[in-house]
Amino acid sequence: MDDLSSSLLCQENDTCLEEGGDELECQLVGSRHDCGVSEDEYVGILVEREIVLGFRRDESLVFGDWMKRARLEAINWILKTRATLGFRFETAYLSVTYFDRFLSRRSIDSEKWWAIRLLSIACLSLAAKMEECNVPELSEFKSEDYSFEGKVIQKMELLVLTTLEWEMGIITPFDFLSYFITKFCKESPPSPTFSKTMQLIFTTMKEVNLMDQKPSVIAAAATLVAMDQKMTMEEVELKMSSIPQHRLLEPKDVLEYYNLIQRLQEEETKRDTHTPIDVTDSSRVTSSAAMAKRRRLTFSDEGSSHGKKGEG
Amino acid sequence: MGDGSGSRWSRAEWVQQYDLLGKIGEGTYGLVFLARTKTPSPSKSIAIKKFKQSKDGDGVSPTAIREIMLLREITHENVVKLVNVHINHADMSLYLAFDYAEHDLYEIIRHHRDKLNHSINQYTVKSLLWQLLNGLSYLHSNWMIHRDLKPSNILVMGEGEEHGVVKIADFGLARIYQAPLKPLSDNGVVVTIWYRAPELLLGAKHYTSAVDMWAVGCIFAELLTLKPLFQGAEVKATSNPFQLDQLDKIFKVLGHPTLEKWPSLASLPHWQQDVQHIQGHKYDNTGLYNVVHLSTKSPAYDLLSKMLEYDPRKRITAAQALEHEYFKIEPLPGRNALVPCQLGEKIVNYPTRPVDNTTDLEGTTNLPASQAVTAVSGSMPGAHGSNRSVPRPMNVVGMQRMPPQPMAAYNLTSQAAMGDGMNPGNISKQRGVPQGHPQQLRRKEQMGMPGYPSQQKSRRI
Repeated sequence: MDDLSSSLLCQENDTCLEEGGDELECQLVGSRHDCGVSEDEYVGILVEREIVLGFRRDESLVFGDWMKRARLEAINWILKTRATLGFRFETAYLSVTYFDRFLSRRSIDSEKWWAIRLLSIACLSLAAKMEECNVPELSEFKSEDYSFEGKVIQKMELLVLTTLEWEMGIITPFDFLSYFITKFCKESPPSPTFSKTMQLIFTTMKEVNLMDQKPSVIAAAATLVAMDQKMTMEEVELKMSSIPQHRLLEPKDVLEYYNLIQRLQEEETKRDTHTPIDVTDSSRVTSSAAMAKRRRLTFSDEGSSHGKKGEG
Repeated sequence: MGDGSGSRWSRAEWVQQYDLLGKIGEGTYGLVFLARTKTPSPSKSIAIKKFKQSKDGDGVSPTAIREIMLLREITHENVVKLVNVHINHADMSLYLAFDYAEHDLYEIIRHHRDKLNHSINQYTVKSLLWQLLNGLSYLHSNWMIHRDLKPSNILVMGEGEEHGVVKIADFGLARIYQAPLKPLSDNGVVVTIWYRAPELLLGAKHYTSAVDMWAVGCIFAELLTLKPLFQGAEVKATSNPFQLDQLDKIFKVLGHPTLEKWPSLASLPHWQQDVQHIQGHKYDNTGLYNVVHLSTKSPAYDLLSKMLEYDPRKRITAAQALEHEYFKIEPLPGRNALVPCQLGEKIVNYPTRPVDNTTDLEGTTNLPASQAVTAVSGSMPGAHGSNRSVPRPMNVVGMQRMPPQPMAAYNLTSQAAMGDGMNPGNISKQRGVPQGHPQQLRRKEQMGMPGYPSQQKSRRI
């Protein structure tokens, strides 16, 4: 966790979320003002769009044990590769959103680790194409244990694109972060709030399917946890009321997620004392040996038990 | 070529939906074909745009992803509407199907200049401009900047229910505001500089919706005079070179920009770097009114000069322009820009778009039967000189009678696209993989994912 945290901290300036990072030429605020839309209105638009994008828990979709492990493995690979290729954290997060969205519409057979890796590569590559200024060639998306031809990756990209119905501009919690932080902290926010919030979002990403909750709720809950860990329902409601679009944001959802983040955080802290690996993106073990071990484990898997979900 | 005989195209399921009539355009991103749907009757004209293959090893082109992503969400009468996305799995090329528009402003202006030798009537100019602004206002309010507006990208529907309706096309360069910006040259894209805003010419790194309004101003003037307003000679170089001549042309007409009128000018890279040419040169203000032959007191002139405001922050927005007095005085703008409501105005019959029927969907020129060759996937041997080839980007178009809700509309088309695009059998057949090894991830309903054995180079466990 510490590694992720320090990594987030030192990367923060590169993410251009806080300051607009002129080198990356990302324009977050300027253009909005240029076309006459205020920050409040913009967030209102995002919140409405979220509803259309359909972030809600699908009770029938339950990942089996294998898929849970596969997902974690995919996320770890994505985080590691993000660091290697110098992508922004948002890019990694977006690729996990694609990953979860894909798996909510199609299933992958148990034990198909290579398919998970191929999907991870395609999702990260697509996210990079959407978010990054410099997109590396497909061959740069190296993977120690598998090797895929460019054409195979491209085919997978196409499958992801069509499965997601080309809806690649998916909203992420980061679209809301700076806004929520400013709204929630009336005075200037304590400086580590931003990186702390980022860290919390990444921690929960590993445990929670990103399709399950609206990015705005995740962003609000993570920001609140970063600021204060002992909030009551009333306090959460009060904070939420500082958002002009609060009517669209359920304080109940935010509180639920707020509690979830704290629980996951505790669990992780406990786990970290035993096995300080596998959580950070730099010190993670991704040897073929580890993979082989995992693969053997899959033989005892009960098989894919994913529920079905319609296209809607 | 309509029957596609002898080509593997006859085997691609989606091609069967259409009768292919031929190539109608060729642009920065690939080829555009005209086709007619076989069903439902009555059949509809469709423009099919083939994306150029991305470089091997790059995967699906970001430009294609972005354009499709944007197009699928757009529902506006004055903006092209994507009808379908097709994938040819053999070479993984992408095809976009749009409703077909017979005309575009490039051709309309050219027809008046070269054939008719008289100006476009005021009703048509105003209606075209109003609809262009209407579509642009929609795009801007949806966080999209077009970035490459020019007459050939402004389409006008031919005879039919939407006759004379403007459709903004070619979103290859369009972007959602938040996405990171890349220099235009990064994509190897050639963008006409004549319609480029001065802040971009001076090296501004941030695009705002104001760049589109500058282009609209240039197009407005061109509709009035039939000549490009600022016809600079382009400097060709690999990465975004400084276009001095283009700026020179602008300054000659509008005069020198000053820090007083445009405070942020001082921070623009080329303004600082090229003191000698840009700041040093003195220009006599020719006067825009002289060029466009408008009285400085006329509403048309007022609107035009507000579009050509140097400071992007002060430049009129599309929404503001729609409210301008120019549109409130006679003749009022109408839906059918080509046919004036008032009697007495002569109706112009614009030429239909030439169709080159010697090129097939892959962009391969069809030789006489005896010499027919198998198309090489992804190649773009041009049929460039074969018929007429005015290189114009994406002469495609919008959509009639789409269901009112964007999502519903897309679902319809995407289902269709997935239907033919994701047929597992199709893939395995085209890749020449032995039977019994399904290559595709299957739909959830089919359960499971049998794998890609032959597609993997190596799979160490």
